[in-house]
Amino acid sequence: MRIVFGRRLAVALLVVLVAGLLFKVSYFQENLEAYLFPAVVAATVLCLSLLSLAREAFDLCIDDFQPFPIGRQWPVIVIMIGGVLLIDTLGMYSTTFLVLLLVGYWYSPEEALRRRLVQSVSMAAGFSLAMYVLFSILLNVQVPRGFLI
Amino acid sequence: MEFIHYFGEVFAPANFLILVFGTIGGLLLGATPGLSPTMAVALLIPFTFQMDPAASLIMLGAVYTATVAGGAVSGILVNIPGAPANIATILDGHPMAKKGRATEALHYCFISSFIGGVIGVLLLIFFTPPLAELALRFGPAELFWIAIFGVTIIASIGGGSVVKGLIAGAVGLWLSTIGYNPVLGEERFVFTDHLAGGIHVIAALIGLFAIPEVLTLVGGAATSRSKVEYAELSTHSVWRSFAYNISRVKALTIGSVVGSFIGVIPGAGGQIAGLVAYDQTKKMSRDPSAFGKGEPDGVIAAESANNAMVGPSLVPLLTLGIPGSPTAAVLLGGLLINGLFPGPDLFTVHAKVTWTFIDSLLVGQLLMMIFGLMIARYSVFVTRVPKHTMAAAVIVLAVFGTYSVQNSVSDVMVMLVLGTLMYFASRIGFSAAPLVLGLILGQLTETNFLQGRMIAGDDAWGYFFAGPINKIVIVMCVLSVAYSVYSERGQIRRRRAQEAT
Repeated sequence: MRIVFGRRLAVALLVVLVAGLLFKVSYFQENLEAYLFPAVVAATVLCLSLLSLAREAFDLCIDDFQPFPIGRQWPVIVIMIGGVLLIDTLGMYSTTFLVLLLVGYWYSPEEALRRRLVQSVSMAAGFSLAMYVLFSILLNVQVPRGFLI
Repeated sequence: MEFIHYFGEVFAPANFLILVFGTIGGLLLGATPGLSPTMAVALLIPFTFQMDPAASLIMLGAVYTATVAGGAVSGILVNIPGAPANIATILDGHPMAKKGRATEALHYCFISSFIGGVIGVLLLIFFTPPLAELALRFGPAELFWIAIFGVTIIASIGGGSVVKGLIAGAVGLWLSTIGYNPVLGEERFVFTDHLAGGIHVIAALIGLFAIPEVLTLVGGAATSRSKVEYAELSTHSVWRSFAYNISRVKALTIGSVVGSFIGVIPGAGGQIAGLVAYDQTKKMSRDPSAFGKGEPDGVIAAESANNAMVGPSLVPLLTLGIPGSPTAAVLLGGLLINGLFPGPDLFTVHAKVTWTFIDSLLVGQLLMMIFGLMIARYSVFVTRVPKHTMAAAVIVLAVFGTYSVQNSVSDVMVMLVLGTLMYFASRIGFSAAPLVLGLILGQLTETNFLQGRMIAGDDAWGYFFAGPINKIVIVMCVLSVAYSVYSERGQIRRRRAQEAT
């Protein structure tokens, strides 16, 4: 019970900190006229976050925290960020193939490694081809080209 | 009767083909567990850039309508609602499927969706033009308050904590200020080149709705397949289903009326419509104990309600720029991208585009029923797509869709960062819908705020708080928040009572 209460307070404090940061960057500017609207909005966010903190402190709301299985999710986050950083070097389609292959292989429930690899390569190749047909042939979108295609 | 005048436009070969593809695609996307209508529409917006405005809106409208109905397929067959709007459907739909009546339940779902949907679109046709006329009286102060009302209502009615909803809405407004001041032209908060020009609405929409879905999908990827219990599809005459469905007048009426009414309320959405209609039908039934055990009236009421909500949810959107549901908020982004601004101009300057779009919603309801009944048997395969494959497909569509908006890798980075942060924010009680709406309405709000200040001169307080329309909208803002606080307190009391017992 105390852990839940502490977690809720920590979340509310984090929100206040972020709101304080927004207020600081919005309000303390040389040309306040240009920043007037964001300053008003940031002040509103700060007031609301303090209200949220008070509600948590006085136990006036329910626990809406949902756990996140970060152990299962970090690989896809790393793959996505890595993919975006590689787009300019490898090109859009090679990166797409790589990202799909890694996501497919990592998260596949298949236990036999060879089958898992074959399935992932097939899925990655299929989707990459579909994207190529859709974007480069049908929609004529100019995407970064690099390695291979 | 202007809508009849433009009816032929829907049947122009290109438009009709798009409508058919949008409907079939929407049904399949809706049937796929984990792909919400909001995310489907957000992912599709970049694909519509090459189309003319009417065709692009037809595509988005068809997908909106069909995903809401298609979401019932996975709900009925595997007890996982394809969209929040279908939560009420599974209460009786899945028990029917477990009793070997899955095909029958799917028939009721599409037939009721059609009937409810047509009633909803007719309301849209008859209520929108007079409301749009009213919008002519609005100046900067009124438009500012209307935008604030839009953000507060979707923030507060969306469920969960009201304060967190309002914080999310305000953060959305703040994010919209990144880039240039719309009046003075000064650059603000651009601390990296990737933010030059601000956050593009479509990149944000895709990131905020798609990336959290990806993380949720991979979070439960390997374990979930084995637990899912698939219902078998039997053979059942469509005509028998049709005759039975039409005879359930009470359930259809309750569903359509409740859905239409809730659809007009900005921010309420299909989930509330379905649940309220289900609850009312159960209460008014001769045998309430049959509900939850496979009662067809439960499916009929829920499905007619969530599709009846679609048309009316566009009434406040097309007239005042306030979306009636999160998906309508995304559609607002689609409208603005096509240079169409909500209000009377839609029915005068852009009458052809607007009426073609509305007429397509009407025709789309019929197509949705026909294709829904045809592909119901085969849509079961879509529900069996492994989660990791779906997650991979969503990542690729999100990246390509975002990139194609401005051919910019920076947009893709912004999309990924916003989406990942949104996922973690959603786990601590913040919702994406108010944030998106704040982001969409931000520039409109700031422009009207600054213009109003210029017009008002020294008496800004008098300008923004005087006038009957201003006062009415301010009272509506206060009432919406007060009502939400009141209902949240009720929820807290009920939950604590449950925990105590």
